[in-house]
Amino acid sequence: MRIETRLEDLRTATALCLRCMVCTYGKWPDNHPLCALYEKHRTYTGSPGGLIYLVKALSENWTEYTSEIAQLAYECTLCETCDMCEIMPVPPPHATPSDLVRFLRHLAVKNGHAPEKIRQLQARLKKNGAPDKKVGLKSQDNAGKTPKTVLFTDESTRTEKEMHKHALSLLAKMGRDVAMLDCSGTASGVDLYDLGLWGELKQVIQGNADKMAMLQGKDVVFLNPHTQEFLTKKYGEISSVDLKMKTRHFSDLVREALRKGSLRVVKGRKMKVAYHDPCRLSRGLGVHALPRDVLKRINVEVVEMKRNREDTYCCGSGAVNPAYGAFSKTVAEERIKEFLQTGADVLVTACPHCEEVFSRLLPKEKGKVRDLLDLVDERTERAS
Amino acid sequence: MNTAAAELKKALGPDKVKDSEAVLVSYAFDSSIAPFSKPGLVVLPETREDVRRLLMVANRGKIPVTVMSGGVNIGGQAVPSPGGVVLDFRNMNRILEINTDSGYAVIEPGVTFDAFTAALYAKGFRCHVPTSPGGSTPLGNALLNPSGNLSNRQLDALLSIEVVLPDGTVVNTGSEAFPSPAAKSYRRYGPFPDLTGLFCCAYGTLGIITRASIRIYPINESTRVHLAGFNDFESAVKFVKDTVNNNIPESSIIWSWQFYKTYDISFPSFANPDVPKELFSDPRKPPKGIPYNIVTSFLSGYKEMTDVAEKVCGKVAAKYKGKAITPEKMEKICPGAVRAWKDFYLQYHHPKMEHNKKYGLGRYMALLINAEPKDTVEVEKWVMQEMHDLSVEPVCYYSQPFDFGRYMMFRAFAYFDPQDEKMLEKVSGTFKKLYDATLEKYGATPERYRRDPSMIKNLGGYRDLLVRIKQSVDPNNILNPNIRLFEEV
Repeated sequence: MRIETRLEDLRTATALCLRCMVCTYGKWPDNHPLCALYEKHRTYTGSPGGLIYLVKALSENWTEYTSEIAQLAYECTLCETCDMCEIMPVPPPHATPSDLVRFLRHLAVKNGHAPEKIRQLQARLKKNGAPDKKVGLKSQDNAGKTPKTVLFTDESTRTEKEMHKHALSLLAKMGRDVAMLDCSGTASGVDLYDLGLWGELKQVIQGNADKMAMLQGKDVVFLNPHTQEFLTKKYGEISSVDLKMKTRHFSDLVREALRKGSLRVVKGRKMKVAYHDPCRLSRGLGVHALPRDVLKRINVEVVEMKRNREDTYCCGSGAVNPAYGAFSKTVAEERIKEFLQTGADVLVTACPHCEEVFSRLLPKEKGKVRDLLDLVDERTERAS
Repeated sequence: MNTAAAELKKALGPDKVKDSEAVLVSYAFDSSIAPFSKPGLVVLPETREDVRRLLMVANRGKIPVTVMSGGVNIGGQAVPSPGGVVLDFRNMNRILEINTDSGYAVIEPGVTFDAFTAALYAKGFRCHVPTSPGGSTPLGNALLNPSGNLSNRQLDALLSIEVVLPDGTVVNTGSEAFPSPAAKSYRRYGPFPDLTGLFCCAYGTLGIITRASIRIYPINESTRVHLAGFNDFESAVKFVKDTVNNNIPESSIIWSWQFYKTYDISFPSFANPDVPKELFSDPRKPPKGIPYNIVTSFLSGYKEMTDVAEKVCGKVAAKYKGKAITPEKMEKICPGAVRAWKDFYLQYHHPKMEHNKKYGLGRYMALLINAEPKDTVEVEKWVMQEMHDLSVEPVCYYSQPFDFGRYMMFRAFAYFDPQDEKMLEKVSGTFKKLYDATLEKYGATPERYRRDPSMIKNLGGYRDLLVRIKQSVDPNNILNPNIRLFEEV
């Protein structure tokens, strides 16, 4: 959704919701409940459809923006279950249900109703300014040529730094020449977009234009599915710049290397894992077969959680949403319960936010949390 | 209302009674043209006792109550009275019994089609599935005498029901009315008047249904969908009448070409929906190779029977200058329809995304008319001309036989910009003209109440009796007055 969107622009899109609630559950016949917000509230209001109707009511001046609306908007974990609804987008401006939630957050920030923690974050950003790291594309090839493949990293958390470390190790094993674009912090803008900090997002987009221009026409590989989805699907609409880049998740590089034999699997201990599909990777980008293929190739036994693939359930992190920690914990614990039902030893995921929240909340005696790249790095070596 | 709210919160618990601004506003309207109407309270019952308590409190305080089971109501029938109560059944959603011997299931009002059809499918059973989304409810749908994949033979979906009246009286109808520890729900009629029928098409104005027994059917050994293409609606109707009279299909639907082509809407990306261009051309002139109408005939039974039935359908189609369409050919004509009809007919559930896509084309208004088969042919011509004149392409319609072909339901949709008030007036006016004119000329009757009291006003003794019943069961007129069915009561 364009960040210049106004309430009145959304009148047509919000008039079409049928209240059918298919935005809250998965494919037939399992019909797994997938919307954490709806599972909490069990009212029409606390559902994607309800939030759409609140946008409609605001756009038609039937109500005013209140902290109650802000609370609902920030409680939503933005797992994008609701974007399976295909009614919204046909008439322009195109807005998915999750974009309407982001829009409500943007209104909360604009009207001074954002939760305290969001306001604190906003104040910190104002104080520190938009991230301004002077970076270029760093090539491993000292001959001065910039490879076509670029690894995009935006490591600002411990888990992201760990993922990056394993990614570098795997690249070395693969003998793969990849350039690096380091955009640490909020540099891609995804967190600002998700949290409704659209004023700050605009500055980041403008400030990042040169950096992003380096990605034009490149084959860009991502570690963080949130960033990948944002740059693949939303950036062009927000910035009006078509980066014309081909994007893929790092697991795609790994599978390619395992298939071609440039990464060799070493004998590791027997392991039973359950793979948690990160929402932005499986639903947002349609990537769920790939990580499973990788896991099978490194000889671990994969068992499925009840809700998987496009019907994955949220990890509770809401990405970096600091607003509602208690609800986030409840959602994560629901997912952990599902993991424990599989009898697997290890919960594997491919997203730094999922890893962070599960590592924090899964009791150590009940299982381990591992990132996919970490596991692959452990169980592979360079092919001679 | 404050007193009522406090009383209800105390009796039902605060989790079931909501009165915050955001909640009230989100329940104040829907996707229909019903105006915004903010309730004073939203109640989410989980038991019959919750419903009884609510109704007794509302009755004492003369507070209007509007009921919604799923809330998927394009006729505005779940939009509350200003300051009234919305009774939202979403959390009263248990499937209480699936009786595969007799062939019924007992469900609560909040059970959705997706949940119900999945539970039945697991037991080798199926139910009537309408063309509404899977989040709509079997009870809400059955109460409206709906169209769908089994409309031809199954006269009514509902058997017995449990109803709560405004004074708290609980009424069981049909075989459930007979007191017995072994009371069962298999029968609707006799030996006394059909009270289940009284609550059908009553739009929540005569009582609140808290439990219902719904007809279900076994999935037979062989099921298939015969497709026949026709260049005109009259031939399609004759084909349907002939096959129905000869007991061949379990059900038939005649689809207009712009309707089935909407199944080909796709979303390569959200910013770029792919809508087939032909959807905006003259609905009376399909492109070459696209049949004007396709009839889907649902065949089921033993394999030997469906083999023969399929051959006979081909023979009868040719008799009326139609052509059987193979699945391979249909993939070329409209692959989206192949997917949608597979879910709808062969897996007995609502084709989630395939069917919903067309609702993104604009505000949706429907014209629903029932008439005798030969009159329906004339109605179709009239409607197509009028809608083409309105420029509301695509003109989607479907038509199907009810009650073994005694009458045909004809349902046409217009899609237009929801912000275009002028178009709304034009479409509403045209539809009203069509309803009145087809009634006058063909005795055609509307399928559904349209929140327009003039529809019932001139029905003479029929209306008088209904009014007397209404005054008897709901003397304070608390049940869904917002739809204005008994406006002068």
